[in-house]
Amino acid sequence: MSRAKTRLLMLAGGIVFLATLLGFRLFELQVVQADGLRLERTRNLHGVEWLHAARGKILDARGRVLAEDESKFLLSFVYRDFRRAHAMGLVLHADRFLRDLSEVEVGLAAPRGLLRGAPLRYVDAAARFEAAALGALALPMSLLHRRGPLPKRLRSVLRFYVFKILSGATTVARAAIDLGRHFDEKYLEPGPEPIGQLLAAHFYPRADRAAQSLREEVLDWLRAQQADLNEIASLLSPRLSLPGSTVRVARGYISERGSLLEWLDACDRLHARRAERKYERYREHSSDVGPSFWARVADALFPSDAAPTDRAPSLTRRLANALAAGSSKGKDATAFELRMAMRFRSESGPVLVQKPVDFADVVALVLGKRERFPGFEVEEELQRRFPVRDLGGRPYRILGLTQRRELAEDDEARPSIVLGDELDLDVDGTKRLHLADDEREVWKVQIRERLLREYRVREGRNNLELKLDAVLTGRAGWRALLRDRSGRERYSPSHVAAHRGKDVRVTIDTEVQDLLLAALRRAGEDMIAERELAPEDLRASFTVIDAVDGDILGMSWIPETYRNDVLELDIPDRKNPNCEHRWEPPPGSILKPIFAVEGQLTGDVDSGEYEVCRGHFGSGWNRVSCDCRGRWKPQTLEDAVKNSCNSYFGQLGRRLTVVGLQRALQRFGLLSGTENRIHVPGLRIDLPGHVPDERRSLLARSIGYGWRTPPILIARAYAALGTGALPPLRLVDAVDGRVLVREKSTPLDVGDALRRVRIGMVAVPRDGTARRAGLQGDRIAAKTGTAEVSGNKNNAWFAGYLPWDRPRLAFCVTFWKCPEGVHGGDYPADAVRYFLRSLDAKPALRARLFRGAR
Amino acid sequence: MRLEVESRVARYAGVFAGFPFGLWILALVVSGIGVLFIHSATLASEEFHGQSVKQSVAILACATGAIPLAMFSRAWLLRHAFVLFSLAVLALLLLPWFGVTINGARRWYAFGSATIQPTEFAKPLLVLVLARWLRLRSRGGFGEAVFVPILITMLPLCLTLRQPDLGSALSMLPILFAMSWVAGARPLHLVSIAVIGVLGLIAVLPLLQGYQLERIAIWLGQNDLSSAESRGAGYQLVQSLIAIGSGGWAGDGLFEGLQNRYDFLPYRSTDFVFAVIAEETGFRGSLLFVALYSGFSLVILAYAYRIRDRFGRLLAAGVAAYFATHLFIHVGVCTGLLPPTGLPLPLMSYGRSSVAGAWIALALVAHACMRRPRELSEDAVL
Repeated sequence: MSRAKTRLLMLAGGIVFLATLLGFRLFELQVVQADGLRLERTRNLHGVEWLHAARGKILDARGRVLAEDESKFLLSFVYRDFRRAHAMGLVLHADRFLRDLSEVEVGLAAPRGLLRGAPLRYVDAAARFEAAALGALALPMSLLHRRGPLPKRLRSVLRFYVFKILSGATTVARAAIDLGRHFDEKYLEPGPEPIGQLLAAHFYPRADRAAQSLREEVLDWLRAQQADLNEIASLLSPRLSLPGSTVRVARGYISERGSLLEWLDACDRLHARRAERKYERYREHSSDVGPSFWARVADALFPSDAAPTDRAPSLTRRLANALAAGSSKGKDATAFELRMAMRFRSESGPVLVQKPVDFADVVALVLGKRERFPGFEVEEELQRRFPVRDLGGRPYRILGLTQRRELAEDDEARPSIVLGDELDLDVDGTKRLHLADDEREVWKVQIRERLLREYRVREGRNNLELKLDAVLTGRAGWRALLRDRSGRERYSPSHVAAHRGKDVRVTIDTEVQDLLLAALRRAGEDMIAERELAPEDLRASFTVIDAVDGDILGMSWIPETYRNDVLELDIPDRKNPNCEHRWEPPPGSILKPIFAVEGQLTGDVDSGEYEVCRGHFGSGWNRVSCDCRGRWKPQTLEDAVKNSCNSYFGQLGRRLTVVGLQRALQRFGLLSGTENRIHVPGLRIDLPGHVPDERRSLLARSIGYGWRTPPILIARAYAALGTGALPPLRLVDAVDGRVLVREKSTPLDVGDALRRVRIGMVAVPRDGTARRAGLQGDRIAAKTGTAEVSGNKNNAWFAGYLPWDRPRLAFCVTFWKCPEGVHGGDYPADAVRYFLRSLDAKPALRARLFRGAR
Repeated sequence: MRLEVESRVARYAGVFAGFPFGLWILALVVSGIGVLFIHSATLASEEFHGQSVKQSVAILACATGAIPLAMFSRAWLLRHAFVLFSLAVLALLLLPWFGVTINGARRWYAFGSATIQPTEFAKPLLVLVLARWLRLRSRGGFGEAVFVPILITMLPLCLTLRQPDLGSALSMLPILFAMSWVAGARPLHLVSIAVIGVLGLIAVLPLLQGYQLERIAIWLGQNDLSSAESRGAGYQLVQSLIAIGSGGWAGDGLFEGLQNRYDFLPYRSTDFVFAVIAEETGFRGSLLFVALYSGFSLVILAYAYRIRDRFGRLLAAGVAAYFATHLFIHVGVCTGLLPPTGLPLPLMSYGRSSVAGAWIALALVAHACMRRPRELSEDAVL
């Protein structure tokens, strides 16, 4: 065998050796590391898209939609996209680039900006932009040439700006793009000609008018883009936040308002500052004059700090770091370029501009986005909408708000996510994705983890939205996705549909609600005027229920808003004092009819003589004073109720004892044995489970001190006084159109005991403590209550029912912490009068409310 | 009459005497596999859809056109070898002025929508000119057998490096070494040249472009890349490894590779076509493919083994080295054995210049195999 043949055989052996080497490497990758690499592929491909579940609607008693979900859109802005595509951004940044360039040493005789004077800003006059655009056309072509003075990266940036500005001219757009792409091939030598002239001469037929035609076209484009900017400004809300001009106050931000152009300038400044900070940080941690390439490699191979550590990097890693350091500190990576790169990176992040944006505006934005509104991005989101507003133009406060919450892993509300074997089936269940079993399992685990990690719900924060959360909240769905490299969805192997929340109809009638608020406002204004109070001192609540069914027809309260001095905003007041304890609670004389009923049942009313009222009763700390109209005369129970005689009820209380008083309250649902709250669907009503204030004497308790009870329960107790049965309170009428079963009222079983109390209560507005309220013409039975609270203030109550002979409505009005001298027969009774008068003006509503009444 | 027909048949048969039909068929089979996977790689891409058809047309045209090339007389080939090589070098030389820049590299001449990559033609012509030089220097000293061939190779190599195209440039060195080896260069010379070459490569590391250093760094640290590196400079390597590894034992199935279909694999019809094959056919398929392609090179070596004349043997050996080198670099890059550098796999990757270059190389083999007793003397003269 010749030597050549032997060598050929050896060469063949070499080829076989290399093929074997490749085979081993393939074995390592495709068999040994296959699972790990499949996992990586899964990470590449899979994605999860949330399908938001709409929250249920809240409707009022007449089916008017008070709150519902609707698709809204969030508008965000990517400054970099804007300035790279919009004429103003291009011109401004070309000018900025040249000015910045003039401050660094690149051996360049370039113009210092595109125009004289101060650097260009978005708020500048259009004429300045036009001058700058013409300046861009006048730049010498040598500046863009590869044999010109600029390093490659800087040249490419300037080229980008100039050719983008040139390509704005419609006629030469294509030619300009082509010129930009093949500039180096077309022009082998740099020359002094202006770049605009170069292009114009190639394209326009009349050489003498070429430059002028190009100028006109570029300017037309600039003006059109300015007009587009004005158009988008008109689409944006006037509450546009300005990130560059925000004033930080405590924990909140206050956004100043400004024009879109000011805002763009602010964005520009913001990114400039960020880039500068990043650059400074970089400078602190690195040096332009680092060790040489070989020094770094030597250091990697023979590290001087040879202290052994548990996780010392491998030799290849150290070498890699050394080489990477060499590549990032390349010879042409100047400080200027670094600054530029950091600026570009800073600009790439989106900034939330506005939410929500209306659909019509979104259509305009999306359709015109690319060409006319670059940089603006729109994202869809479900938001709560309140079609019906209260008298103040705000959503009804009984509705409350919603908030987004991320569910923790151990949260009970977290859904159980079960992924079946269908994950890799096609929609029609036939085509498999060729996922190996282990890969499918990996995918499932990952999707589940991701779902759990990102599971968020929109839940109620207060009032109805909070209390009815379980019903209103839907169940979010999701889709497992396969995405391609650019993030586009290519395939969805599995999905779980979203289920919207249920609609809830409440018993509240918004018309009643408005009347209640109007009445409260009016009575409150009277009090403010007559007592010379500050408006913020007014606190009042008014609730009306159906006396027979217990349906809550309306609940209103003042203040409507409270002032947040930090944020300098008026925020709607949502804590409902009709149900929740909010201010000092004693109901005072409003409880007397209840004790009167109990006194009759025990026989204490009729057993033995009652002392005449002398203006006080008892002695020492166990003493009550009285200024009723029945002083120095013997009084019947009816008189005592009518006049609200403390002396009489002090004596009654002494006979009933605390146990009797408690029993009376329990009978009327005003005191619970154990629980602190009454749970009515949609409401949380505070209720004391025990006698809260042991310091109060028996006599004080006899006249309504030492107890705490919310107005809505007083209204219900008065409904019971009128009807003889304690109605179940009801706020939710129907869920998803299905009317909830009504609970039956609980009969009081008090025999004839109510009759005398009712007589007294009917007399209250006619001749009793509320005689000055002007309610004599209304068939109303009521009782006033005035309880002293701290600071020489009174809680003034007025509760009752009407019509007195066949009750349909029960109510309770409370003016909290009124000035001394105000009592229940004053402004609270006035509020009822205002309500009834306004009801008179609405016969249809009146007929609806008083259906069945004589 | 009968005698006349028989003599005509014998004359035509004589024209194709020794023509390696088996090699042609094998090359067409390999090309067919390439077209199949190019089709798979471009199936979901609107931009590149149709590459498989273009590639098929190019293969058929080149396979047919290579036959007359193989028929050229030995004397003509020997006489014009340096001229042809000089033309290729000139084409490389003029690239900076007349070439077009694509993806930051200036490797192509544009003719309308078509582009031509002169490097692909320079490689088979390098084989030709090296065979031409080495055919009479079986016992030459270091200067004639090693140093001059190195100088010849350095011409296209340096011009290719300047484009820059590191992969193609590096693929020329094994061709040089294989041909010098077969030509009879002393092992000591070759080893010392190899050592000097490696040291030289290390020495020029700091002169490499930033992105090239970055790629080497990524390659060195491929086992613990950060997510930023995986998304940035290491993207090609990482995605290729994922595609190959995901193929597992059996693969995803033809046209079903997810990395491929969902666009994660870069340059999948050219520089990473092997990753598509590995993902869709798994370990079995990719090993079979490596065996097939290596076998293809070995078949060419077998032809070289049978060729009696020195020039033909060197041609065949050089072409075998050309295919084997491309296989090793291409698969090595895809599998992370070598630093990422774009190199198409002849007959497999999309690229009409690459196809043409490969078939020119095969034409050289066919030329070497064909029997030309009269021309052998001519060979001795030139």
